[in-house]
Amino acid sequence: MSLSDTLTASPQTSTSWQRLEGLLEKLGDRLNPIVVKEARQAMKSRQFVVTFSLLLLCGWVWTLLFVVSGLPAIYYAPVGPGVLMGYYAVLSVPLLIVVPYAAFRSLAGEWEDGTFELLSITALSARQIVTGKLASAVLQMLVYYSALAPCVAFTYLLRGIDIVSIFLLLGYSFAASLLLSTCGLMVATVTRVRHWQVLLSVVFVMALLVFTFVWDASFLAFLSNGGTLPLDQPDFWIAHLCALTFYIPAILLLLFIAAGQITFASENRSTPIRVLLLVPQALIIGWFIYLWRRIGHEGPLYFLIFVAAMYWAAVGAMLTGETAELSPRALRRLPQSFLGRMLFTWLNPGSGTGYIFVVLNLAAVLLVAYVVPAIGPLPTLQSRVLSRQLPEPDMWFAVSACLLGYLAAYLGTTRLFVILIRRYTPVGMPATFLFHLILVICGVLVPLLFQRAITGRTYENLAYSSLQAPNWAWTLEIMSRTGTFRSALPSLGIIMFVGAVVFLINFVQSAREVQRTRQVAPTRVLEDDLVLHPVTPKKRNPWDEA
Amino acid sequence: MLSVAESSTPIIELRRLHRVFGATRAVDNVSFEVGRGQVFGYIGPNGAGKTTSMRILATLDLPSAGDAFVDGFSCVNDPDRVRRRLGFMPDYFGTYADVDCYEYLDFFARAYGLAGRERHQAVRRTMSFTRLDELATKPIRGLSKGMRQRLCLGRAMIHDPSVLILDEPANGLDPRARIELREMIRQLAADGKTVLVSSHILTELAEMCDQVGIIERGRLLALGTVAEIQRQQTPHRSVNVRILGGAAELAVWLGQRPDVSAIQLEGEQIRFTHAGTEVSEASLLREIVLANFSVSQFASHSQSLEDVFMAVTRGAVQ
Repeated sequence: MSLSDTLTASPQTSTSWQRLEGLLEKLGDRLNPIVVKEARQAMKSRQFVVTFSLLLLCGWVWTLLFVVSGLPAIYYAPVGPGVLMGYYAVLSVPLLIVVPYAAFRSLAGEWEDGTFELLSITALSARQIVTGKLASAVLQMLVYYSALAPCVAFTYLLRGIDIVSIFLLLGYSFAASLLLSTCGLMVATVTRVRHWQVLLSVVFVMALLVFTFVWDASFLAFLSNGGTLPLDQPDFWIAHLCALTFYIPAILLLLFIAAGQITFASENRSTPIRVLLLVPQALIIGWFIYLWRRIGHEGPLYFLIFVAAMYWAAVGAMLTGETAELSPRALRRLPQSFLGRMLFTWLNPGSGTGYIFVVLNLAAVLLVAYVVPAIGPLPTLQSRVLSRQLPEPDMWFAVSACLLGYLAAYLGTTRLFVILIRRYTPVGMPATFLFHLILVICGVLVPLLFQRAITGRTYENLAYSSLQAPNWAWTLEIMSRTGTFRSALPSLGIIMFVGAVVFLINFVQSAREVQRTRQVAPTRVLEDDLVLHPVTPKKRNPWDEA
Repeated sequence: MLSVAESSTPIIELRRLHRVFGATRAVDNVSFEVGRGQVFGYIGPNGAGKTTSMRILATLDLPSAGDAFVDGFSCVNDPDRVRRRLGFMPDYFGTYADVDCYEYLDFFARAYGLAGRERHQAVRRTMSFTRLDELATKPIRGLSKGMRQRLCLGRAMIHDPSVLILDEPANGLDPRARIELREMIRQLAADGKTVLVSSHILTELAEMCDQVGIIERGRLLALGTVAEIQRQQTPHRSVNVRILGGAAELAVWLGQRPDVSAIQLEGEQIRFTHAGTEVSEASLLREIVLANFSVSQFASHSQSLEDVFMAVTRGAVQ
């Protein structure tokens, strides 16, 4: 019975099936429209039918082959891991190749078929479009899992591997497939130019093939060695928790980036991403402090500042490529109060705010890493450890200052360079990232070449000198290796000075971005808001009927 | 700014709109208003800037300068509010594979936030309006061009918008499908929708549009009702008079009048150009009759929209 018939059916003819259909219909109304549409399409698409049939066929063929070749050992020997190897390999093809590629094609195809523009002018937000596509990918994954569910049950019956390990191993594949699908969606939004999309498509497929090969090789090797996971070890689960806490923001970040790419240009695309970028920062700090307390050694905190510096350098290379223009629409949502402006201005779009956001965040991490050992000594080791294992405070400060100086100087210089170029030609975010990369590489190579040229020595005989101040790799290496900053003291002064100067120039230059204030929405918009969200007058007293 | 809207609150407004692609000025300072419930014809040669300005109105592109408004909302700053009020039918189909007509419309109804009974009613209403009822389960790939156009019109109006923007909807359609489409647009206008339609088939536009705008090389060259533009562009009307004897005398008589020119005598028939309105033309006829000329036929005609279009534009593309 069609839905229209259901709706018009009289109460007398209403059956339990019709009620169920009505309930499902209501449930369907709550689903993302893209999931509904793609599920309908998938059921009719040749790609899905072929993949599903092949998966079933391969699963059953492998089962038969394994049973026939393994007889009579399967009656008494624990051969579960052996048969799971086959299922794992079979499942990895649709999960790690077909589904992520289908997700990529699903979004890229919207441009090719001319349907994206039609979609973008509906009430669906960019985030809904992307999450709808991802949810469709998840739906496909679940269907593929369900196809091999009997085989997985068969694996458990053959013994040799426990049910938790089986679920964990399948969970890893699911997580990998989800991550790859999200990457596929993000890659699909990178360009709308046909030939670049074809190139990206080829590169993405090759990357998926390589990933699947490495993935399968790793897990098949693991299973061939017995496939025993240390399920009784707390650290095993803590490591999983740690991975999960980074995995979820990574997925969200990729989704936000993909959604940002397809959001209407006048929308504020940067702020949600910047807010999300703070989550990994908090996680990095939290997990490193946990490690510090667990290991009883300051090593993790020392490592933390390098990880944070790399993270913010990568983020900064992107954020400093943003343009400074803010649409009136974005201006309507700027923070208004003094405190709000002071704290949240750095979340506003713009290369200047992005630069300061990055530098301030790294400074915050460095401060935390420096302060935590001082205010929170290790409970078990106490003074013995404090006296022996706390790093030399000056050294700690020197490394922190060095990292901060390099970040401020390199990001700031490239940003000023990009602003200069933008007077003549538009420069996008990828180009800015490339400029950053070139400058960072030049920062290492040029001082080396220069010192070699003036000393006439070979590279093997070059000694570190203050000429190497821009050479971040050598400066940090020599400080870490020698455990002291004495040898790099002049360089350190130069780095801090240059970093501070570049930061100040950028800070002053960013004034225009910071000075922006909230704009009041037009009257027509306020009127429409009242229609959409009418304000019901509150009763002022029990007798007030207004 | 040229203003032809009869209603005091225009539902569509283009305000000093500019769109530049490199060195090309696709839209160059275009301003006009369209009142509620009107059908506005947007005319211009290929590459004139029609589609670009329509895409800006449909919130698919951003102007380089200026702004466009739908029901008072900026297409730049409030695209979400504009989209709720606007249906756009581009000059391409944009259909999905492995989807039938009902599923296609149902998907877009969901995408516009319609749910439950409201959605089913919207789909049924749209299928009925576009006469696609019998094709509900037919795959889109199997549809003819005319059917696809109707389906795309249905998609554009599924959420019952007050404004419809139709970019070349009659392009490539056979005469029957074209007439059907024209009827649908008329019906939409009768239902109070504002329709902005571009087309190359000018005779059809002249019949259905309350006002037209002629654009070339990104610039709006003429704006107004068809009659107004005809008057603006060609103030002279061509008159054909047949009299029963005395044609030469009438030619001499007409030659003395300052509002008559280009007199041609062909037997009993005289062709001339008259500068004036229809009222002054009636007065001329009366004077001819009062001067004792036996008029057996008096016909005048203004230039067609096609003639005006040819006169206004130069056929130049960017």
